[in-house]
Amino acid sequence: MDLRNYLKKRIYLFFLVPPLMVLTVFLLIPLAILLQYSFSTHIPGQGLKMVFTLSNYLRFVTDKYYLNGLLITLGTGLLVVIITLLFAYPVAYLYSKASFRYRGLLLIMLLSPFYTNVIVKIYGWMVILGRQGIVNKMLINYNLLERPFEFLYSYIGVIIIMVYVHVPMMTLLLIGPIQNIKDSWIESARICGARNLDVIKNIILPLSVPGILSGAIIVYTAVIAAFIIPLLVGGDWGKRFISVMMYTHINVTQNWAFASTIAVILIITSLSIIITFSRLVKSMKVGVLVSEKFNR
Amino acid sequence: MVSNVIVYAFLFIPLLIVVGISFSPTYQMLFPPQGLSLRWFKYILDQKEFVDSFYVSAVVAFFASLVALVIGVLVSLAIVRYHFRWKTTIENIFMMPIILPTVVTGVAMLQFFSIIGYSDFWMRLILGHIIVTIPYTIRSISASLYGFNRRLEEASLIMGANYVQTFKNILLPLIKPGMIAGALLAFIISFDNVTVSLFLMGAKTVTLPVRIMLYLEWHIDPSVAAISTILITLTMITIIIAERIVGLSNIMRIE
Amino acid sequence: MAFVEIKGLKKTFKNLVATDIDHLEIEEGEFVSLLGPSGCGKTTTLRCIAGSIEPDGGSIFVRGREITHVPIYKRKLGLVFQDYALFPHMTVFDNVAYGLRYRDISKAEVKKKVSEAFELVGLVGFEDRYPHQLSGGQQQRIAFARSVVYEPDVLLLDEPLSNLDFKLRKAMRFELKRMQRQLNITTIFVTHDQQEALSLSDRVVVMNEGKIEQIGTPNEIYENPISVFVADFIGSTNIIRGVVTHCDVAKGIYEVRLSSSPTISIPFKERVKVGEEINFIIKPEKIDLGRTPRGEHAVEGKISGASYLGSAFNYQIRIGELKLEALDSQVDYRNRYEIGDSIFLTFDPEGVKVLRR
Repeated sequence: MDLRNYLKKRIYLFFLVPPLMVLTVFLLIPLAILLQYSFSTHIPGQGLKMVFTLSNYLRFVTDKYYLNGLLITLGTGLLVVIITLLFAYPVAYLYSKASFRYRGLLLIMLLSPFYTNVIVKIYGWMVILGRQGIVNKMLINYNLLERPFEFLYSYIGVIIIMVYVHVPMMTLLLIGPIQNIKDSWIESARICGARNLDVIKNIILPLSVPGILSGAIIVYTAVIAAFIIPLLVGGDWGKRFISVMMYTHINVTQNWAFASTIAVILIITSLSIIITFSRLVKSMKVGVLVSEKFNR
Repeated sequence: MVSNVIVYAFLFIPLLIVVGISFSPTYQMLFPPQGLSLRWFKYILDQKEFVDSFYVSAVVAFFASLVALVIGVLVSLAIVRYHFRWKTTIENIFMMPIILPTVVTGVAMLQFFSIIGYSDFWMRLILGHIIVTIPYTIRSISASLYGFNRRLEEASLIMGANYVQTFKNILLPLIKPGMIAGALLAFIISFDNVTVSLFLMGAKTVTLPVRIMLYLEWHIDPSVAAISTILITLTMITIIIAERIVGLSNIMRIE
Repeated sequence: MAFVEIKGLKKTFKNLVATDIDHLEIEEGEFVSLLGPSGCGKTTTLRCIAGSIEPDGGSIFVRGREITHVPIYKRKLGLVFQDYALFPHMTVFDNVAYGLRYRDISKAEVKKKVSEAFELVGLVGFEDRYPHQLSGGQQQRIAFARSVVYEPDVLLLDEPLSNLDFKLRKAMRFELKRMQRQLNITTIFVTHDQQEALSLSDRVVVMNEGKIEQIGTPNEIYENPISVFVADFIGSTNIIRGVVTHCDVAKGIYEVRLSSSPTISIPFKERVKVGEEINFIIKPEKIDLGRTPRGEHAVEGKISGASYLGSAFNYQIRIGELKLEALDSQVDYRNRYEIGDSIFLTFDPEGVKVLRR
């Protein structure tokens, strides 16, 4: 009788079992295999040898090519995040101050580009930035350029497109925290005599910081993990992105071991950043938890 | 504010250009187009590959979002209602597909399927998409569930309905918005997915985004614009429907 | 056995004893209130009866049948929540009819009973509305209707009037009492508002920290509280502590030396011993005030505070370091007492009670 009651109360917990099984089999176990592979050796022409070795990791850490690749990835992430912030903050601010009527429309306008396929977006920019593209044609028309400039497969192209792809996400992540900045605080500041610039500097910006940080963390982890964009339009720079390096090792050299190692390093890097900065945000008094903001 | 106009313009202009080009009468991708023609739309509808890929993407997205929905309901019920020791860990585990780089998910699953020798490409794709979309359905449904007043369940029970009846008559109807939004979200995410599809697909099960990507490697012509226009339109319609029916702001955890 | 009987009910939450009731009996048709401050265990007790909470020990009987471990949906009880908990996705009609769905009743019967319920609460014509289209008071009445439509053995109410504004609350109190009388349904009412409890109940159960402090009719509780807690909780009461220094038994006067003030003479009717340390209470309305002493044992004091209530004056009076509250309903505004005035207090011996706890 007691066992029945005990089970009845916890029945929802049993709901967790099938999903957990699915996730374990199709994600956790594959990840474990990945981890194992990262410690294996690759024999060219034969494939994997299941010998436990740290050689892959050593190779990654000692080869400047890979380390630079990591640096490029991390650095680009930072650059993209900063620029994206500059674009996204005003939009998020307007949304939170907008009346309910307009919010629906604004949201649709924000979400439509967001959920449009990334390939479509890349194609759009290809048209704009390509050799025969609109920008080049204009620049040549106005005699600012003699020959078409390769925007697309350069670093600039990568940055532009990455920013483009991530602005909507960043905006969505910022809306919540900005809404938490109560109007009454701003009003009190104004009543005390603060001018617009002061209000921004002393009230709005400081209070936005935790929100900005948590949004930035999420977008940052997305950017450093970027795959398609560097692959398609990155050119030589794209090849140095971690995800693309991983892909190359799978596609070209069939070196699953080393590819796995890169994957593991990427995961560790992402996780460390997330955890460190989450703690940082948490410790700020008006904080927002990163885990709550995994929104798309 | 002016900056807003700039940003929204920035977001929409590439899409508008693509739409414009899709009506181009020639091979040239000029904007504004030199005329209006539907030839490219006809062209892509004739291409078996595109049509097949559309079908593949649609089917995979459908089944993946369905399963993700069920899983979402199961997991949300457990997470929202109970506090147990491993709760946060389990929550994080289910959120992993978002946290992990998509490439890693793709590679890991590919290795796994290779090892166990599973070569049903349809299932591989669907399973991969399920994993990728689970966090979204969980997010959406648990958002709805958090707002659910548990006293309603108590009221139902006291009035004589048992737990199953209460679940059916009170709980389910009230988390419907979360379920619908979650399913729509999952569908879009799945349809849009490139990375995981790239790794898990087979020769006969190429999803649409990947197909476009492959096409782009060799041809640059307005046919891609035509497909894009269709996709953009479908996306916008879905978003508008979702917003009207469900009030997306709730599900996006914005309000 | 009484209609509802609770024995040895115990519930503990993580080291905090929420409920610890030895014995409580309720007769059929009685309106009983569980009264007490937040955390006193009244809601926990109610929810144990309802079945939402599983008690750690004890038993609950309704109509002679033990329901302690019977699942919620088999208990045939009604429950009205503080926030009404009406189902938002159903019409008000369906809300009320909900409880009848799970009993073997024909559709025609259902319709009949639901209409009767709507008549009872005075909301005929509202059947097709949705909860959000109704005002707070109307929602409350629907909540009541749906709890009684299936004729439960006991009706449980969990602070149902707390969400209403003042005027509506008073009106609803009358309504509630009327409906309960009409149905003659055994009712258990939880509240922290002692006015509510006193005005509605046949009996009041005052609870504190999980235990029952006192059970009695509203009058008994008000006039004869048996503990400091009850005296303090119910209405405004002056509680005075002191040591008895002198007795004049023939006249029934005792002199009490108070812990922090001069000795005063208080007339009271119970026996106490000299040297005994006691608490006694006197209600503000039992203190007579005058500019000149009336009777032999008037005590002098100073007005230290005055509030005009319209129908009465509320005065705070200091005797040395003792502060007393007095209620003067003989309002003569022009002759009112002001702060600083010297005043003589006379205590009505009937109104002075000794507390043993």
